[in-house]
Amino acid sequence: MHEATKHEVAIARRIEKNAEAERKKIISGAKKEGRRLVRDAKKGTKAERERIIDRKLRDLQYRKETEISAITADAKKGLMNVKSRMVDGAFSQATKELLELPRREYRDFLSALILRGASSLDTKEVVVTPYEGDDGIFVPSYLAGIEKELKKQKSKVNLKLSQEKITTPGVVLASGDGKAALDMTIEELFRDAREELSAEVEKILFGR
Amino acid sequence: MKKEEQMEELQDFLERLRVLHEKDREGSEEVEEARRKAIAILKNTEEELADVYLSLGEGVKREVEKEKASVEKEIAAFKKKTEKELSKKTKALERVAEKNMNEAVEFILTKLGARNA
Repeated sequence: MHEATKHEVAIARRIEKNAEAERKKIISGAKKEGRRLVRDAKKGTKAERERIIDRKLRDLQYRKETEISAITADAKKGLMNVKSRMVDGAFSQATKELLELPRREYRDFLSALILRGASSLDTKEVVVTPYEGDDGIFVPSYLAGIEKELKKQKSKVNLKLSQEKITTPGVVLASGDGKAALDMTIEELFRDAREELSAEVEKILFGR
Repeated sequence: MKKEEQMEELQDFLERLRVLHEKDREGSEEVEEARRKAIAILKNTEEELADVYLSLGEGVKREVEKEKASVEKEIAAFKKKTEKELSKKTKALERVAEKNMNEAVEFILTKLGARNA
């Protein structure tokens, strides 16, 4: 067999060289592409990470602010409840003291109530319905005395004692024709007073 | 040239051609092998990418959990402080109210006409 010619050797070397170059190109291309993908992914995930964390932190901040405002609101409500409880206590104490007034003072209080109520009813005859426990107070001379006071105030109202009785302390006044009535029971008076005087009572209790 | 010599020359030529062809085939196999390696490299890249994304999730979770714990601690501390202050203020209010209770009761009774009747 003849040895390879120079030309054949050159072709064989060219084939080897081309194959080697192609092999290197493929491998280095794959490595380069792999590195690029990982680098881009890291870069992308860094931005994504910051974006997600930023959003989560904002959510947490919002949650913190909401909970802190709720706690603050609850505390304010708690203080208001304390004040309200103390105001209620003052009204309860006042009710108790009113019902425990000495007989004469209690009777004068009722007179003042009837005087005030009868004048405001704007009618010639006022029917007075007393509390069942105040029988001893509502003698004929009692209402006559009040009528006398009314006359002094230029009022010509006649008072008439009802045969009916109410079951809670105080009185109920009604016009003679029954068209208007005024609930002046202690319970009702205190209900109105609670609405009207709470702010002032609160000021007295907790300082102006 | 004799016929025998011609035949020998032809066989020699074919042999040389076969050698070159063999070289070319070997070169193609090397390239094919390189392609397989490239695929393996990219497969590894896929795994590396999965790790990158996994660590993203874990990193975010870790950081958020840390911040969440800190916020919860802060809220709990604020709540405790507020409750303590509320208790203190409540006691102070009750003390003042008790001191002024009689004045308030007298005010109510006066307004209702039970004191100046």
